Parts: sequence; C-alpha cells; structure tokens
Amino acid sequence: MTTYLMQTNGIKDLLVSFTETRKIDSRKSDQTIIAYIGFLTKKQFEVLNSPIPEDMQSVVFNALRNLIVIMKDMQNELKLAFERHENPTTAEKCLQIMPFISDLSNDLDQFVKLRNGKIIDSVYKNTRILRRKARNFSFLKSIEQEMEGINLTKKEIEDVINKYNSNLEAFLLIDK
Amino acid sequence: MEFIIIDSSVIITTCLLWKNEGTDGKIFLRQRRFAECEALFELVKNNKKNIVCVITKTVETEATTALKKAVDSLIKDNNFKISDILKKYGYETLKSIILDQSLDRLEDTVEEYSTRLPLDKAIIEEIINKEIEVFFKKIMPNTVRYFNAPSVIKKMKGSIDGKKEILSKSLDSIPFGDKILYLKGEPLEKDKRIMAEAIYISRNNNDGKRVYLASLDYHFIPNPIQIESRLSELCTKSYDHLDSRMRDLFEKNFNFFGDKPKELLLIFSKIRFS
Repeated sequence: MTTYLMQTNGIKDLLVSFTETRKIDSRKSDQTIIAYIGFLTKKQFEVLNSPIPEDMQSVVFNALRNLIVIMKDMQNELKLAFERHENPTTAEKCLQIMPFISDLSNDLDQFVKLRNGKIIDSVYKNTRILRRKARNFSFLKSIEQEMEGINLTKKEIEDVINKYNSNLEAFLLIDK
Repeated sequence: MEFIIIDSSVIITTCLLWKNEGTDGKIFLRQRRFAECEALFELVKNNKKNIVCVITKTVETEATTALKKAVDSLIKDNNFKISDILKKYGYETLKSIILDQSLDRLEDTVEEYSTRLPLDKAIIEEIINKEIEVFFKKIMPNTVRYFNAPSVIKKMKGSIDGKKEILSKSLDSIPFGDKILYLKGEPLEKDKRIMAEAIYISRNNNDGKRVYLASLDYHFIPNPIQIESRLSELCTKSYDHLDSRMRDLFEKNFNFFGDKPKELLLIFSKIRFS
C-alpha cells in the first residue's frame, strides 16, 4: 500500500536527482507530480466519503488541498526553469520545502493508522507551517490559482463568503 | 512614544478581504469597518519611530479561534450540506481557501505591524484578580445594558427628535442618573486578560502613562445608549449618544484608553510626531 510519505519521497528523490545532474527533466517532473496530485485528489474524495467527524474531514481535506496547490506550483516552476535553463536553482528551492511536506505526509500517515484528535491537531499545525514556508518561498502567489477548478457558480461562492462574514459579525457583536 | 494595543475585534475585521477574478466575474467582499481598521495599521506603519503597535498572544489566539469557528459553523449550516459529492468537494475547497486566506492575513498583520513585548504571566494574573475583578465587583451594580424608557415615551406621538429630547430630560431627572453607567455586561475572562495586558504594558513599558486600546468591542470603548420598553413586545432603539464614562473610568484607574480605530485616528491626527 502506498503511503503519503512514500509518495513524498518520490518527489524528493526526483528533485535530488535534478540538483545532482544539474539538469531538470520537465517531462519526468510532470509525470511524477501529476501522479502525486492524482493520489492526493483521490484521498480528498475518500476523506469526504469517510465516516470520520466533519471537523476532522475538513482538517485533512485542507492539508491535502494545500499539498496539491503547492505541487501544482512546483510543477509550473520546474517547467519554467527548464525553459529558462535555470538549473538547478529552482530544484534547490523546491527541495527546501520538502522537509515540511514530509512532516505533513508523516502526520497524514499517522492519522490513517490512529484516527485521533492529537494527530489531527498536528495535521492542522503542520499544514499552517507548510503554508507559511511555501509563501516565504514564493509559492501560493494568488487566490485565483487556489480557486482554479472549483465547480461552484459565482452566486454559490458569494453565498458562502457572505455567510462567513455574518458569522464573523456575530462574533464581533458590532453595533449591538 | 505612543502605545496602541490592538484588540481581536480589530484584527478579525481586517482578516476578511476577498478579492478574486473568477470566470463568472469579480467578487469583492470585506467587513464593514475594514477601512478604518486598515487605516489604523497604515498609521502605525508610517510612524514606526513614534508608535508601538502591540498584538499580544492572547489577542492572536482569540482571533485565530474566532476565524476557525466562523468557518467551522459553515459546515453545520444546512444550506451547505450537500449530497452530491462533486458539489461537496467544491464547498469544502472553498471553505478551506477562506480559512487559509484569513489566517494568512492574520499572520501577516502580526508580523508586519506588531511588536511583541515580554509579559509576566504571574503579574498579569495578579492584576486580573486583585485589580480588575475588584473594580468590576464594585462597579457592576451601577451599570445597565439598556435604559428602561417610561411607557409614556413609547406611547407618545411625535418625531424621533422630540422623543430624544424627552428621553434626554428623563435621563437628567433620574435621581441616581450620574451613577448609572452604560455597559454591555461584565467583560468575559478573555477581555479582562486583554485589559490586564494593557495595564501591564502601561506600567512596564510606558512609565505608567496612558496606552491606547483599539477595539470595536463595547467592553472597552464608549457604549451607545439604548432605550428599551417592555410594555408590549421588546423594542430597542439606539441613539447617537455614546456614554464614555466607563471608558473614562478605565483610563482614570488603569491608564488605558479604549476607542474605535476611527476615533483613535482622529486623536493621532492631532499629535505632532518628531
């Protein structure tokens, strides 16, 4: 059975090979990353169909979503680096973020085994750490990128955001 | 040097800024008081030599909890319970993005604008137990949330201005009027902690001089006067008049001055910084 960490190590090994050979093989990176994203997306649907509590589903789903978006960014950056002959600087940059991806992957594997609240807290914490690091390395540049492929209409999106806004107002008790 | 302590209500207000250009068109949403809160942070940014902005861990944690609860309760809302798995995937993705964007803004705000000052937890607990709790125990019996209007005001015909004038005269005529203070209930534990931190910062970082507390929470800032009539159904009206006496008592006793960001901006516009 493939674990999250095994999949992550596949990406890491690929990036290491790029830095060692000082050459980016964008066909190979596309293949490996697309397969990894496919694995993560499948896991997202499994989580939504699973009997675990909804709040835990959201934490795991959020972790997987961040991994997917960062991977898509990485794929684009490696492709651009190949075209611009920026080798292996971009691969080195991607490698710097891999330890945080590994930490989160480890947590996700632990969650599959143990399914408890303590692991969920660690999944949440490591997702935030990964996201912060990714932003520091100029991944996750735009909200449009993160919204890509979301199959909701403009009205459906607005309804959710308006509801979020009302929830915040209720907390703030503004002008009441 | 001026100190501005930021309350969670101000940070939370700046955390929702939704701007995206989708295939269906642009969506733009922000909280009602976003502009004034953002303007206060701009003031801090442009006057770093003269203003110290403090966002304590208590405030940051409270803001994080509020943002997460606001998103979590989207799950529980039946309008967004979906049986179609693809739609559910879409909603979960959107929820996840909303939470991440808000928490990103919170982290960026703390990093960009705030100075972290050392706070002695033992002393803060002491301030809460020996000063703040004692203060509220003494003052709470003299506070009201609403003024119970005489029934005649509700039944009177006439304009709202006319009723306001009569209300104002009735307030003046209450025998203990000057001792009745408007307060939206006793502050919660977390609010008292924020007060204690403000007091600590005033004493330890500002030689006991006044520090400012930027907030939209009526536990810290002047309260609007409301009248309520229990004659028939509950009827509450707000008037423009703000009662600042509780806030003034906080300043007199504890050296922190709370107000909305737009009021603090007015105050700071009159200060000449070197």
